[in-house]
Amino acid sequence: MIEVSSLTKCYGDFPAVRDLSFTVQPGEVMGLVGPNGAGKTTTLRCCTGVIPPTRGVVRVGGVDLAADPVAAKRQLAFFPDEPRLFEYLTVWQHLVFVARLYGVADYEGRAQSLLTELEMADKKNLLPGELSRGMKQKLAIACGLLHAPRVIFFDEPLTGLDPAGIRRMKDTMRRLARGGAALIISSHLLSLLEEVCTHVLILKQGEKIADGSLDAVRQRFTEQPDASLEDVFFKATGDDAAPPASVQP
Amino acid sequence: MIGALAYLQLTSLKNAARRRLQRLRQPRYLIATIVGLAYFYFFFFRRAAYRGAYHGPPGMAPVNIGLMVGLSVAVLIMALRIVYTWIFSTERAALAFTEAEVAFLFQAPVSRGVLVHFKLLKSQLRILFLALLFSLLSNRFGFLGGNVWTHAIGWWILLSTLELHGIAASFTRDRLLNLGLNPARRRVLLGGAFVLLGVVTGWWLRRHLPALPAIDLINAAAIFSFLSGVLATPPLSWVLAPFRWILGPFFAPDSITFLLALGPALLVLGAHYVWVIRSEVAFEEASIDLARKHAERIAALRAGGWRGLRRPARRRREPFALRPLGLAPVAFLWKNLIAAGPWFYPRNWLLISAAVLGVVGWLAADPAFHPLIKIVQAITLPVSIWVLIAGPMLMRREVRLMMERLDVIKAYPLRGWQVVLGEMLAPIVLLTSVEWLTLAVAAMSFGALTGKFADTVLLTSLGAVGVGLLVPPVVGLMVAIPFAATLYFPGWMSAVGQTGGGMEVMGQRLIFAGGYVLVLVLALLPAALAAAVPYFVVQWLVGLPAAALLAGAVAASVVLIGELAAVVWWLGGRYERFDLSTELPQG
Repeated sequence: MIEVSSLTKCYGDFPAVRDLSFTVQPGEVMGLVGPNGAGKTTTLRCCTGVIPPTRGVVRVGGVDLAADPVAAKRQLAFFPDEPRLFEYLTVWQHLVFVARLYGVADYEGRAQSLLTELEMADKKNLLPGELSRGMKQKLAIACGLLHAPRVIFFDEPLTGLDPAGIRRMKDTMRRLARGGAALIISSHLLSLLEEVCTHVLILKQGEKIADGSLDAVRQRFTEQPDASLEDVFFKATGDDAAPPASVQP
Repeated sequence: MIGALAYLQLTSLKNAARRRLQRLRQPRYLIATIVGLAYFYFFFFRRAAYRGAYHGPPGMAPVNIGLMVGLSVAVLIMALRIVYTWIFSTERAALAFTEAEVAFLFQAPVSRGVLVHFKLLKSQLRILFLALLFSLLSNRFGFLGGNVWTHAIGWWILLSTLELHGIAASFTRDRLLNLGLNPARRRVLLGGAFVLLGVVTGWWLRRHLPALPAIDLINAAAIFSFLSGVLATPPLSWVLAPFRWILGPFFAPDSITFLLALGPALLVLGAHYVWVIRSEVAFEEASIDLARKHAERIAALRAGGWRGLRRPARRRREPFALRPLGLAPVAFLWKNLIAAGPWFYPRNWLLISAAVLGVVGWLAADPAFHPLIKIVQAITLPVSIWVLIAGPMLMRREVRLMMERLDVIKAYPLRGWQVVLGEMLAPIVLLTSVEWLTLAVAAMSFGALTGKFADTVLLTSLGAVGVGLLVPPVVGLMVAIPFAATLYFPGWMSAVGQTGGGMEVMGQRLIFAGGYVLVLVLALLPAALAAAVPYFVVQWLVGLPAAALLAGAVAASVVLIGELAAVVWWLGGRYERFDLSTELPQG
C-alpha cells in the first residue's frame, strides 16, 4: 500500500501540490482527478520517486521513498501516459533488461505468461517500431508488471488506445486490484474512473478537494445517489460545466 | 495575393529574428552568441581581408593556372551532378513547402504560378545567405581572382541556376513519365546519349589532342592542363558551354571580364526561370507528400537526434547473454551495445581488429611498403585525439535521449551512480576499443620503422600496454563531461542538441569543445604527477626505460580510475537530486 502525508511540491514560489495526504490500501483503485494544472502528474511523479517532493513523506509498502528509494521503488510500477521504449530492444529484450534491473531471477516463466496474457506471445522478436500504439502500451505494462509490483501508478492509461485496447486495459487494472495491488490512476476520463475505481481523490490548484470511496464523495457533493462522477467533479471543483454556445460559421 | 504571401514571409522572418533576439536575455545564449560572433568574425570577415597568395609552379601565370584548374573542375563537377540527377533521380515534380504552407496555400484561391513564384522567392533568402557566406570563404583564395562582390554574384547565379534546374528537371521528368517514358527507359536513353557523347569526344581527342605523357601523370599542373584541353574539345565543349557561362562571373579575374561574363550567365538563368514557369505539371500531390516527409524528419530529429535521419531500426543480435541477477549497470551496457550495432560486439570487434592488425603487420614486414606505414603512423595520433575529443561530443544526443526517458529511468530501483555508470559504460567500451586498435596500429608501425628490432619491440610493446592502461579511465572522464554538463546545465545541453543553426548554438558548441580540452588537461595533471615518481624510481633502480614507462602508466591509470570513480559517484548524487520537472527546459 501507499501512504502519502503532507506532500508539497513547489516550482520556485509556485506550489503545484499543497499539503496532500492520502492512503491507498491493497486491492483499492484510486482515481486521481482534477482540471488541467491541478497537480495530478506532479503527484504521481513525486509518489514514484521521479521528482523529489519539496516537503512531505511518501511510504511505499511501509518504506520511506526518500530514505530508501531503491527498496521503495522495487515495490512500485509507473506507467506514464506515453510508453517510453528502447528503439533497438525487441519485446523480449525489454523484459530481459527490466528483469536485470529488478533482479527477477525467474523472469522467463513470468515474462512468457505475461506476454501470453497480453496476447503478445507472437510478438517477442519485434521492435517497438514494428508495434502498434496499443501493443507498445501492452509491452510497457508487461515490463512494469514483471517484478510483481504492489503499488501501481497509471498516468492517462487510455491515451491512444482503440476500443478493444481500452477494454483490455480496464480488465488488467481490475485484475491487478483483485490480485492485491494498490492502484492509482490519473485521468481526465471520468467514465473510466467511475468504472474501475473504488476510491477517488479530487485535486484543484494543487489542493485536495475531496477523497474517499466513490459513494462517500458522491454523497458529499450531490444529493442524488445515482449522480455521475462527472456531476460530482463539476460540483466539487466549482467549474462551469455548461457547454459553450455553439460557434456559428 | 502576392501581398499576402510577402506578408507571410516577412512576418515569419521578423518574428523568428525577434525570438532569437529575445533569447539573448538569457546569459547562456548571450555568451554563446558573443563567442559565435567572435568566431565568425575571426574565421570569415577578418581573414577575408587577407587573401591567400599563390604558390604554384614557377614560370606560369598564377591567375591563369588557378582559374584554369578551378573552372575545369567546377564545370566537370556541375556537369556530372546534373547528369546524375537526370539519369538516376526518381523524385516526382515537387516544390518544397512546409506543412503549414500546404494547409493554408493549397486550398486558398491562389494560382499555380503564384505558388511557384512564392517558392522561388522563398528559396532566394536561403540562396542569398549562402552566396554571401560562400563568397567570404572563396574570396580568401587569391588565385580565384575577382573580389568579394563578384564572388557573391557568381555564387548567387550558380546557386539560383542549380535551384531552378532542379525544379525544372523534376517537372520535365514528370512530364516525360506522363508521356510514357518511365525511369528505366529514361536511363537507357539518356545514358546512351551520354555514352555517345563520350565516344565522339574520345574519337575527336585522339585526332586532335596529343596524349598525356606517362611522366606527367605525377605532375598536377600537366594533368589539369590536359583536362582543360579535353573539356575544350568539341562536341564536349559545346555541351559544357552553358556550364562555363554560368560559372563565368565567379571565375572572372577582373571587372571587365566579369561584366562580359554576366550576360551569358544571366541568359542561362533566365532560360531556366522561363522553363520552370512554363512547365505545366501538377506538383501539388508530390509537394504535400514532400512536406509531410520533411515534417516527420524534423520531428524525428527533435525526438531522437541524428537517428531521425536513419532508416527504421532492425532487430539485432545480443552482444552477450544478460543474466537476470548481477550488476545493474551491465544491463545498460547490454542495452546500449545492442543500440550501437553489431560492429562493436566482442567477437566482431576482435575479428575486425585482427584483420586490421594483420594487414598492418603484413605491410610492416615488407620494407617496400614502409612509405605506406609512415603514412599510417602519421595518421594514428590525429585519429586517436579526434576519437578522444569528438567521440564523447557525439554522445551528447544520446545523453539527451536518456533525459527524455528520465521519468521511466528514475522509477527504476537503482542508485544514481548505477544509472550514470550504466549509461557511460557503452561509450567507454566503444571508444576504448577504437583507441586500443589505433594504439596497436601505431605500435606496430613504430616497431617496423625503427631499426633495432629486439629493443624496440620491448619498448614499443610495454609503452603501448602502458598507454593502453590509461585509455579506459581517460575515455571515461571524457564521456563523463556530457553527462555532467547535462545534469548541471540542462538548458545549455538542450540548446546544443538543437538542430538547425544560430550563432548562439555555434558558440555553445565552441564553448563545449573548449571545455573538453580543459577537462582533459585538468584530469591528466594529477595523473602525470603520480606517474613521474614511479617512472624515475624504476628508471633509477632498474635502468630500463620500458619498465619505467609501464610503472608510470600503472600509477597514472590508478589515479585516473580514482578520478573517474569520484566523478561517477558525484554525478550519481546529482542524478538523484535532479528534478526534471523544474530543471529540464519545457517546450
